[in-house]
Amino acid sequence: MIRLKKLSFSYENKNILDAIDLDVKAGERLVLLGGSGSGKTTILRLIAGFMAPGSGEIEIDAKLVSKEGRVIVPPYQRNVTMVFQDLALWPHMSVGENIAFGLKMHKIPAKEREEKVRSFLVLVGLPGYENKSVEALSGGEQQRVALARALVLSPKVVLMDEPLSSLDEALNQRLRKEIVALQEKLGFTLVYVTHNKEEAQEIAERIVEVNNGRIVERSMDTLSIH
Amino acid sequence: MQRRTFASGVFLLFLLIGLLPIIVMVWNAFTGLDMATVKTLFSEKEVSESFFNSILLSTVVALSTTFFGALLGVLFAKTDFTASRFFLSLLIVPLLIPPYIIALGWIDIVGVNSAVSSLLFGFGGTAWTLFSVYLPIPIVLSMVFLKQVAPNLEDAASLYTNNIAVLRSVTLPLIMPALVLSFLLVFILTFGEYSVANVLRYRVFPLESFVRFSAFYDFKAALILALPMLLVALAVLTVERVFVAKKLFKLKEPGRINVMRLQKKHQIFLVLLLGLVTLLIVILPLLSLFLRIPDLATLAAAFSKAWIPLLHSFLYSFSGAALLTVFGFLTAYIIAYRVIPYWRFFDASIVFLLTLPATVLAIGLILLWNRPMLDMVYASALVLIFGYVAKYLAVATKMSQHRLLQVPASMTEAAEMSGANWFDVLRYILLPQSKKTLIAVFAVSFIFTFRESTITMLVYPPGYETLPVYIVTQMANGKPEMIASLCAVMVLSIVVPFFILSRRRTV
Repeated sequence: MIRLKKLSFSYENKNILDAIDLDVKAGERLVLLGGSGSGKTTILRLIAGFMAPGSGEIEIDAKLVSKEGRVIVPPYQRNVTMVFQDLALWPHMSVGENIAFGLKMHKIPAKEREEKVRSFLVLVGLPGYENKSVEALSGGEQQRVALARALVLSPKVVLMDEPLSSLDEALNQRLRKEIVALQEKLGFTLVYVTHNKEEAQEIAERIVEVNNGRIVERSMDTLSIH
Repeated sequence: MQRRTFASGVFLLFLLIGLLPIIVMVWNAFTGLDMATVKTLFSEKEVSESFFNSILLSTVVALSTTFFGALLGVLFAKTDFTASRFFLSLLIVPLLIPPYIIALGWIDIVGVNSAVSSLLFGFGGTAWTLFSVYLPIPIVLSMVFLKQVAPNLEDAASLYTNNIAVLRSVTLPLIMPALVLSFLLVFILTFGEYSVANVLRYRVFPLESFVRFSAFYDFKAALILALPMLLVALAVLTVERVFVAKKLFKLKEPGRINVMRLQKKHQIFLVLLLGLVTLLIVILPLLSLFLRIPDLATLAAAFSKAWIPLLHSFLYSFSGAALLTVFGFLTAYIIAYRVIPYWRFFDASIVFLLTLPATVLAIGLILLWNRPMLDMVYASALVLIFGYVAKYLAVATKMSQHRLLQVPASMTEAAEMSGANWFDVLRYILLPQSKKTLIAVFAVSFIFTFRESTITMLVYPPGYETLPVYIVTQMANGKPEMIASLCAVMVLSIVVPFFILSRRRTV
């Protein structure tokens, strides 16, 4: 589904990623685990197409999307969505407008958009929230809106960049389960970034550790949580 | 001293310098008001016509500058256009100098009695000149706000659509309050401006009050005619409070910015297009004026005549800018930290004074300070400096306030936990972190006060005239080459230091 070949990226003469190879299978839940500055968010941003790799290639669905300093397929044509660490909900749009944005850009008729928004709000446990302002929601509710926005277009790949890091422990644990349940139900490929080993174990089918721009495949059992 | 007592002292000073002149003016206008006089005055065809002219002119100039300013703001802030800095520096020039200088340049090009002078003299020429003068305001405002849009908000949208649609549906709506603010600022600045209209013989409302005050000495009529301007200022303030102040989204501090890449052919096209625009609105009028100067001897003669007004300009602008920097910082602190219960009123009042046409403020200053026992103020440069502070305090305050709100609360709380009192926090935490902003506040205040001519024209005591006022007085019967030379002195004395300082800042 996603293939990174000898992927390198540097910023201001500092190597962020150093010739990494990584394959993610369709429908897999892969967690990229690592400390801050390890390069895991850079991997997500390269897959999304927000920036071009210094060298190496990225393929999505067997199609070359980025190669050596070039973004060949722009983000909106990759069938990839993302849940950002700060959620990036647009404050000038209501909950419904945030979720419907991608549908609108894909020219889905208004009636169908409304129905989809309604059904995804139900799916994430926020029925009837269409007209609320995103700024008036709690952290957990905003999280669910960001999830609904990422899922509404039925993407093949969903990228999540430490989406639960700002939530309290109880809510964090509950949402981990919900993310897994949603992934199993909808079957998308999930690439999830976190620095929390416990969170990684709960979400992942496979864990890859990112350290100083290199990656190490980890067996689930070798991770000590504390 | 208690924090609130100190803050109340600052507020009282503002009341004396800024609000009291307006209160006295309104009081004088309504004392012994004869409704018949009011009726006669407002039924005069010239009065209603000039009011309509002013509203139309302000709307057209505000709409056009905001639209084109936003486009240029996007080009300069959100693309990798290589000539951004060059064109921005050129386009800013008309804002640095008194607006009538651009109008004089156009008169020089078109001529008074040529076939196309009818296009220049009247609505078209006035709107065109004021468009070039106020265009930098929306450009700079939209650039500042565009650079603060969190890149993740745009990234999130770029997963669904192309760059142009992201700009249209996410970036521009997020900075919409800044565009509304630009519109309001340009609207009110145009509404209060009369020097360009006066030179280009277009009847605008502020001239009605000004002429009755300074030419006919009909103070009552001038005061009554100032009241509609007060109402327009209040209307603009209401719109600002409802549509701007409460709707500014919490954006991020300047940092990573998403920039669109332009192809080489687009870069070349844009350089040619902006070259033409800059030629038409900046270079041509100024060049034409400068070419009117026959030789260096005329320029030297102009300088020798104008060096005292020029010295006055520098002195008053320096004092005004220094006072605005200190006063603006303290006012920003009081408003940002809500030190006094009536901080909202304080905030609204400073914005109100900015929106108030300068003629109205000047009349208020005269009515308040023109008393024998207050000669110390009225017969000195103090009255000018008070006028500058009252008019531009909002600009200085908003700039400082923006910086103060970026200082995390935890920093001041940590200082308080270490035993610092409020003044220590101000002195050792907030002030050092605002240093760069305060230098910018000083520079902006200096420019605004240096180019000011409306307040100065009405209130300057004999022997205290500034260069913009000196040029206006020479315009009545001075030789064209001498006036052109004086304008060159004015332009060079503000534009050259501005470019040197802005280059030093960017190095």
